Amino acid sequence: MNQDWIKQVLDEHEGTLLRYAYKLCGSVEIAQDAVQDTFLKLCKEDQKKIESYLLKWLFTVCRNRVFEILRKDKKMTALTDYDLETKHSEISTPDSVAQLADDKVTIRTLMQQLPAKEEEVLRLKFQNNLSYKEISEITQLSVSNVGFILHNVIKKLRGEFHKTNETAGGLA
Amino acid sequence: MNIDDPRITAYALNELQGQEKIDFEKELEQYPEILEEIEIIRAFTGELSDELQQEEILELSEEIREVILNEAKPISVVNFRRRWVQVAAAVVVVACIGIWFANQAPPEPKTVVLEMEHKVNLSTELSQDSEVSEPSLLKDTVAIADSLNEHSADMFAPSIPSRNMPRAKAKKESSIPAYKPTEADISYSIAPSMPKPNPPVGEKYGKYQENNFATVLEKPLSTFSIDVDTASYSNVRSRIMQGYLPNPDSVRIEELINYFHYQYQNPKKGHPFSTSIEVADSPWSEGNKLIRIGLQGKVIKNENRPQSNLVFLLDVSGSMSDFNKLPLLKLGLMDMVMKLNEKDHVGIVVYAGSAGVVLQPTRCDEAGKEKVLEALTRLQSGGSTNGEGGIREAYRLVEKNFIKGGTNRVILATDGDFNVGTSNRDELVKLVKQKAKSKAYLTVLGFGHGNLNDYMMEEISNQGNGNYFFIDNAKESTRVLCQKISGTLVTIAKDVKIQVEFNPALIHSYRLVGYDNLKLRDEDFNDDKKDAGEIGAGHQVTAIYEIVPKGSANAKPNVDALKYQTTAKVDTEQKEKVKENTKGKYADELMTVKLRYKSPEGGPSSLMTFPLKNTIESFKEASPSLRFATSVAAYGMLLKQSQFAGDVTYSSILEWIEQIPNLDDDQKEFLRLVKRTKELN
Repeated sequence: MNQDWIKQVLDEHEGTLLRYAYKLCGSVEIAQDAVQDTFLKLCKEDQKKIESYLLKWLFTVCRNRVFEILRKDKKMTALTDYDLETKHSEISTPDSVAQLADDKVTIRTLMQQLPAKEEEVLRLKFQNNLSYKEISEITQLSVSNVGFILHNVIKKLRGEFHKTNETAGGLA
Repeated sequence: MNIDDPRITAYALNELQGQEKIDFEKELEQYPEILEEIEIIRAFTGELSDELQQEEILELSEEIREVILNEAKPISVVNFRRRWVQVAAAVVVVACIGIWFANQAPPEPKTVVLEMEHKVNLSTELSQDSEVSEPSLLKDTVAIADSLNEHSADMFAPSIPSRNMPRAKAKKESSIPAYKPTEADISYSIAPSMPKPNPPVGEKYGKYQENNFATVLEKPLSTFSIDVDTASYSNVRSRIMQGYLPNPDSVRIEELINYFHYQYQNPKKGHPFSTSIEVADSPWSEGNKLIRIGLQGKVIKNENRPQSNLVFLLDVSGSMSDFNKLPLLKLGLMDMVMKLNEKDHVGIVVYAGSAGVVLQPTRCDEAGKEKVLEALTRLQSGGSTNGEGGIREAYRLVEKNFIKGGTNRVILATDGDFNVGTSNRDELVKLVKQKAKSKAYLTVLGFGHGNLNDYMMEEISNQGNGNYFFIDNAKESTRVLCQKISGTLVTIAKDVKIQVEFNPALIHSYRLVGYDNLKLRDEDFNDDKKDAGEIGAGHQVTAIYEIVPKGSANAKPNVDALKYQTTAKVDTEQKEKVKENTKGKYADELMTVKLRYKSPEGGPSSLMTFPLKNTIESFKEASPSLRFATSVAAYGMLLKQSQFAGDVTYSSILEWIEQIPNLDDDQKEFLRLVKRTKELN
């Protein structure tokens, strides 16, 4: 086992992994636990074997762990991973609406309205630069499904983005 | 094809591969509106990606980190004190990295591209609307180049997302025993953390057998064509920086050696180049010697360049859309255009699915330059690649505007992924070879990784009176297209061949290091119809022979003695010949180097002859130039996994280089590259 290696991986990926886990479950605590468990598991793995697909491995293990904890905590009893469709309902609070009118809407704010599955695939692709194939392996969706989701969600976001920014511009 | 086809997005994100990609590109030709859609998707997702990557990053608590690192600790009992020193050292290192990051967060490639495109547009808009003077336009371009450089110039920056690294607590730091990490510690502790990307699978390299030792008695002559290309070095460098070892077939040792500048004497008046020969002990196999032959081409300042007729032949197919291809190419050519003047003409031909003239040959006075820059700015990528059509069109333009006594050159920029029209290598090479008869020269600029067709480009440039450069970053593009513009554009001698005759009285056998695909038959040396390499203004060519002296312990025959015939008679005859030689007037000559070259306009070749006396210095006493070239050659042999590498290691190469005084920037970069390669192994 190679402590230096673990430390390097930790330094390099802890932040992105934690961000991903947090966006997945919305709880810093659960995210921290899941990431910790991921790295503890990594300590038991063979560096040589795992190095070539390290990122995919980290995301897959971390993701499974998040859903495991959620299930155990009974925060999500009989539901499947993706039944939490629109978890970010706070998007329509008065504050956020005011903010929408105020500033130029960023793509990120629009993303919060997306169903969880779509948001996750977008993040894996554009925040973590994973390939369709890697995303498919992490999320257990098929490659063509990933491609389909991304194609449509990008189109949707583009439309929303132009619409909101035009309205915002019109108001100002 | 309809707009709901998910392949559109997949293609825009470079997720389509192999046949699927080829099929898609073929279909795409019928739907130009989809090309626009692809560009929009790329721009939008680029922005999306930037935004998402800026999103706040979280950190694990200190306790959790400790739990994990404890778990990863080796099981053996660790001396407590030693561990503390290690932890403390790690803290210092992490703190240093933190500072390093604070100073220079490496920008993400995508950000750079968007910013760059933006700036380019801005600069031309300015120049069109408000008649901004040329210097400011130039300044803008330089600024863009700088911003690209920041990303690429410090190629040793690990691609770790920037964040608040230092976890070190001040208290711990102050209690550290006197331990200062050296530069090596730091680079070691950050560099290997880069994830190793998968090696590209779509690249094509030629396979050539490495030159073997030949015995002087059997083969007294060695003949080869010079080559000034440096593409292999930039390609190797770029690979290593991405974190993996290059394909051994992609390593051409002569192109590694010729990338660097050596101290050779200037050519005498009236001669296109000078020759510097030096002999020293081989540092990698005891008893063997190295002979270094260095050519220095006449230097021509940019102001004194003859007038030129250039046609840019640019690949704008879909595969060129990556940030390190078309955008980099545009910048490089803009830089180059700024160096041109009213003596020069530039035309632009682009090719994707079909080929077309974008800009008729235009005189590069102030107004003309604007036109060229504007045309370059407007270029967009999309579609498949019809290299053949482009090549025909470009040569047609060059021939139409041929300048006698001037520079007539096609500058082909591509990733070499020809897939429409004649994409058969031999056919294309034949086409270029035939076009080269028109006396127009060729420069091939290779871009990008993934489907780089190195084999094809090397062949085309060799057959088409050409030179070949690989542009991996903005620094390299400036080097080839700006700083060395005269060398790239102006050919001072062509069909340059070298033939060496070795003296069997002193030398048992020899081997040419590199130039594996540039060997000529001995009789080709005097045959003016046989094509060979060109040398540009200020270019240098360096070749190294490894020799086994007569009577050395290494002087063993390559094969067993024959069973069915005797070589005794031949042996005696040859011994007689050699004996005469040892007594004769050439007894103390190691060898004779002969050079043939033609003027750039052609005509009969000229011959230069240099006998070499038997004076050999130790490696340590040899000139810095020889020692550096030798180090590069040895590095190339290691990368090539050469059977002749003897006992060379990366460490010994580092030692040799570190003993060379006053390294220039390129040489320093090489030193870092060797260090990095050593870590990768």
